Amino acid sequence: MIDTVLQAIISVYKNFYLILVSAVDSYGMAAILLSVFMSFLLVNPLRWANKIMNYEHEIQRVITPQISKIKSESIGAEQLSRINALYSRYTYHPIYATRLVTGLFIQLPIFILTLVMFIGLDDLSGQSFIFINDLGKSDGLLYGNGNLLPFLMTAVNLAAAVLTPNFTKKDLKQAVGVSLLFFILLYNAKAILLIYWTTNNLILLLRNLVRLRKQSSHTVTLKCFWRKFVLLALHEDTINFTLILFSYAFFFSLVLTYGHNWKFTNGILLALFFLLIGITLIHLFYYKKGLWFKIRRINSKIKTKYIGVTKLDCLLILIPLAPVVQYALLNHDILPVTGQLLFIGIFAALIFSLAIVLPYILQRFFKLNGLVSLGIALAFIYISMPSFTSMGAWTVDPDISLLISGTMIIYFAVNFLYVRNKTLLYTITFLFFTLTTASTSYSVFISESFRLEHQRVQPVNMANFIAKGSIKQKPDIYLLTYDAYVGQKLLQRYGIDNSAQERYLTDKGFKIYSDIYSVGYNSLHSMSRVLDVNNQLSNSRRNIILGQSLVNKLLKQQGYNTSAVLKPYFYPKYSSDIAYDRTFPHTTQNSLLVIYDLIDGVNEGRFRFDLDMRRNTLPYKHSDWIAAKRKIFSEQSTYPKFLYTHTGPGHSQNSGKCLPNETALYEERLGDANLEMQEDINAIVDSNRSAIIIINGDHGPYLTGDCTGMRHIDWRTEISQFELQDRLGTFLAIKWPEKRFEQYDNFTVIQQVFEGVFKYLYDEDIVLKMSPSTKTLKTYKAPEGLVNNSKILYGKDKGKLLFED
Amino acid sequence: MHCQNNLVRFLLPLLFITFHSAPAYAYLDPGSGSAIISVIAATIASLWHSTKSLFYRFAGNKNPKSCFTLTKNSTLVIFSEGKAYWGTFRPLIEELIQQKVLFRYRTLDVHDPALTIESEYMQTKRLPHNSFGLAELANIEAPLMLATTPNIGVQGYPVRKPKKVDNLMHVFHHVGDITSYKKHSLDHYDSAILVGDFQKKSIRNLEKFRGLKPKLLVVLGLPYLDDLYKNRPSFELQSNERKTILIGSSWGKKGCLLTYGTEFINALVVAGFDVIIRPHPQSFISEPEFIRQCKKETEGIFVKWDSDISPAIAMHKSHLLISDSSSLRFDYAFLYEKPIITLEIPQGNLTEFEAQDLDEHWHEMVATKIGAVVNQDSIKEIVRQVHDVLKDNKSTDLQDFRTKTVKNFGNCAPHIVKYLKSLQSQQDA
Repeated sequence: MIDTVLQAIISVYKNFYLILVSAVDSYGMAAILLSVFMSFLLVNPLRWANKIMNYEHEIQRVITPQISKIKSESIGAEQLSRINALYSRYTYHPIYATRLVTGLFIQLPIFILTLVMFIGLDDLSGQSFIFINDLGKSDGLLYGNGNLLPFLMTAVNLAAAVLTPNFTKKDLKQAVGVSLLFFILLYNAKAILLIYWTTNNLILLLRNLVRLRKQSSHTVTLKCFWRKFVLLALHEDTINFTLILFSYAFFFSLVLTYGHNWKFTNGILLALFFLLIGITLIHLFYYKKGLWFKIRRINSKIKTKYIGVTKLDCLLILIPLAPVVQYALLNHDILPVTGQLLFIGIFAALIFSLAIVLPYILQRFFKLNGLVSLGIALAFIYISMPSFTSMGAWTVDPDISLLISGTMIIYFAVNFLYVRNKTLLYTITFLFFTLTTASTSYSVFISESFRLEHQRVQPVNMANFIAKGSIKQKPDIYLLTYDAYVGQKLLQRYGIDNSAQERYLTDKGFKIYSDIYSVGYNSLHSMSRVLDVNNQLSNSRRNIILGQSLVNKLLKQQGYNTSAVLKPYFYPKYSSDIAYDRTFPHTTQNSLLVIYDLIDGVNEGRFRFDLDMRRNTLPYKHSDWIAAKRKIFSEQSTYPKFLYTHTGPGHSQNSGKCLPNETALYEERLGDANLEMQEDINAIVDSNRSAIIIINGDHGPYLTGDCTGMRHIDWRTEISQFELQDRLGTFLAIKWPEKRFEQYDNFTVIQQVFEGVFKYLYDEDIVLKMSPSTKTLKTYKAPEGLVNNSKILYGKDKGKLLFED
Repeated sequence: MHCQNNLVRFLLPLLFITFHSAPAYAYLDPGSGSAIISVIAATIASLWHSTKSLFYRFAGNKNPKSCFTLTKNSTLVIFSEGKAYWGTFRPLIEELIQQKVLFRYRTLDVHDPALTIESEYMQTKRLPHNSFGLAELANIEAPLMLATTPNIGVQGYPVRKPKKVDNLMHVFHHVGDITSYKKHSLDHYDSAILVGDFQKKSIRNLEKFRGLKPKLLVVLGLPYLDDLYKNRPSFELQSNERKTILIGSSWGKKGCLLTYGTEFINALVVAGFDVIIRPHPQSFISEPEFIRQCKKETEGIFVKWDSDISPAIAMHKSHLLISDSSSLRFDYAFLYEKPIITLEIPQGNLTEFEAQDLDEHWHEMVATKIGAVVNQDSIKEIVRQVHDVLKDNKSTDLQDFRTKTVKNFGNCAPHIVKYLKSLQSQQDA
């Protein structure tokens, strides 16, 4: 019943808005008219609410100092008795303070109604208004994906706050805080909502201006603010501070040569350039007016208390150090304690230089406050950039305006406490650092999933393997995994033609298995189950990939020499965890590689899966890596060989948003992988040894939706067949030494491949007590068994086969 | 590489909220935003207060026993419209407390200084200035209610005469008869404490004219004047070549500002005088637009506007007062013994006042005893008049006039309280 009434109200409101739209033929203008109309509709109720609010303010102004006096004079029961008597005299109760939000209670239903109406209005998509391309999305008008309207709204809000008659300084401070909070809350809201609210607050601002004109001059006026602004703009400290910040940014632009942090630095430089021009113009204007010397004299008389850098200020570096510690902890499985300490130490030294040493030196030359806070704010934003990038799904460019605003908010917050209450700042810093570190430590070291994920060496569980005796024939076995490689059937859906490569494989004697998928959604999940031939893992995923697997143990028992040529990403922090006979790159280099990776990630402002592929600072060349696996292919040893190697093309970037040319980039990488694959195969064939060559993909290329984990949809109901293929689809082609394989190669999932291989090697129909399950794994979004036995059991295409046409 | 964002939980939580595209149900008016913060603080404070109250109740620490538990309805009630009448009631309240007399005090003004008094003999309550508050006042039960508000009980006036009050007693807050009060000002009062015998005539004449039951009239003095006298500023005036003129204007049609405009003020400034303008406090409420206009017309460094609750400082600083029919003239004369010029107000302007029903107006009759009188014709000569009056100051005459006019000058409160106690005793008997 209530629902029906609410729906009816929304419908009436929506129709009214659509009538306005048809009248003015513009969704944006109609939103402005709607805002104006609603504002005038509420004039009288709000006037009444204002009276109540003013009355409450008046009572509080009278009562508060009396309560403070009572509190300073008495304690306990006496204090309570006196306060109760006071309330009784004034016929007051503290809960009456809720009268302050009477206006809010009047307006809130209208605002919620407007919000719900605009959110549900699909017609807005693609509608443009003046310079806004799509009213149904955030405006994105500023350089680097930034939104202009939130800034406009905040400016109007701040102006309305400053010009609210009878506002006390305390009210003003709170209002500024609230304006900034709403800036943050609504930064990504639909443009139409921001147009509506900005208009609403513009009307409020105009009303305040009219009211202010009627009042005497003791209230805060624009003139007074302008005077303060001019004094500030012409102050020597302002010029010095701007120039120092400019120097910092210039230095960063030289050090950071690419990535989001570099782009952010350029954004700062651009903003500072305009700021310096503005300051210069103000100087020139007042110089011409003949007031320059007078203002400078006034400024020189203003006595500022300079706060020198103290030893305790070193504590403040914990603010930007918190994300560093977090990165180190989160990568503890590949980074030993010494590596973690080295990583933290490098950043601690950098932060210390920027936030403590530099301000200390600069203060010798310029008597200037705020340099410590500036160092802390900049360091924090730069270091946290990978987190921001991930959360903001910034693919090409970061949101520069948001980052600059964020830096300013942090700077002002830190500096406010630095000047007013250092003890509180130290306490907050300490708490912040402790809480973030404790929280990360909990997820890393204590939570069940992480304990399971990162357990050290365990004996391989062989109980599932029931075949006995030794293998009669011992061909070399090559597991050539090409990350995110999928079959032609799926590639066709992306518009990619890879049929030539499949023809090449067939010509080389490979059998291509179609419609094969993986039970896992990423490399570690997928390949650990391939190598352990079981969905119930006997060890941590990383350890299995590193050889503590059924496949490696069994083959070693059978006299195989086993090798792995993998990316540093797969390697552990302890070389003792590796169970292969040979590996490349050498694990002793791995800690350093991980630190390089992390530093590069912070430097670039995002962590990428292919970081190590692009970096020039690797201690080995990519050609060395290729040569290492080719050397094993061509080796004419007396013992049989097993090699697991994992290479490209690789899936899409993991920002949470597809690049405009995501598929084209994948196609390009696929071409490279095809070449590498052909050369790999040629090298193996040229060795003239009997071999089983398995060529597989481990999961899909992730080219649909958000190009990652489809965070914004409900997988149980909304995921489609194509999106599942895109994530679970794989490739499998095997070159068997002889025809006998045909009775053993009935594969549905990639994880069954070694069951078939062992059946072939032992020449037995059953080698495992329990075959690997075809049921897909559970993730934080996907339910377990989303696909089972090739059938989709959840989502939009429930009931269909995964590869059904 | 892990980049899991546990930071979200503790790091810049506000900044990060931005990244969630889900719309926020937020209200953007900065004023309301700040109010929300205050409300959150108030709610916490309220809960804390209630918890403490409960704790002390269960712990057995009850509030000190109120003296009013048994005698509530049998005690005297003082009713005040607000802080403007603090001068009238302060001497009485202080005396009542000193003599340990239980009484109740009701006010309609949150700024009434009486509300700040913590005394076991005084039970104070602010009544909201709305129909609920006035209804509560109308239902009050008491043998005696003392008030200085004229027109209580008159039709159209918001304050009704409480039915359960046996004796509604008026106490004056100015020197003068009731000619300056609005019509029917004391018609519903049962008794009145008079400043001096001179007030009896106008009251009795109106009773006869309107066929009213005669009131009990007791001449005891003027607490308001005593309060001003006791709290006279004691600071030394700076020697200044420029003399200061205080302009005291009544509100409404009988005010000199409305009748004579601001031209004469500017003429005084041009003639080299400093001017302090003190309108009646009611002017700021009833005619704010007019006051704003006057302020604009007289803007300048030699003119100051005084809105202080007490006229004491302005009176102390000035050398001469120019006023209309305002009783401020008598305060000025009796307390500071300085010269006064009265600006005559045409009769036509007094139609709303008791003066219209009275043949004689005391304040007109005695105007010449406290200084010169100027009318519409002679206002152009105001500068000369000021110079003359300043030259011809006779403070001894003013002292004599005060002794004849005001009873118990400087110390009437003990006499009034003694009288109130005697009434209480009679009632108890």
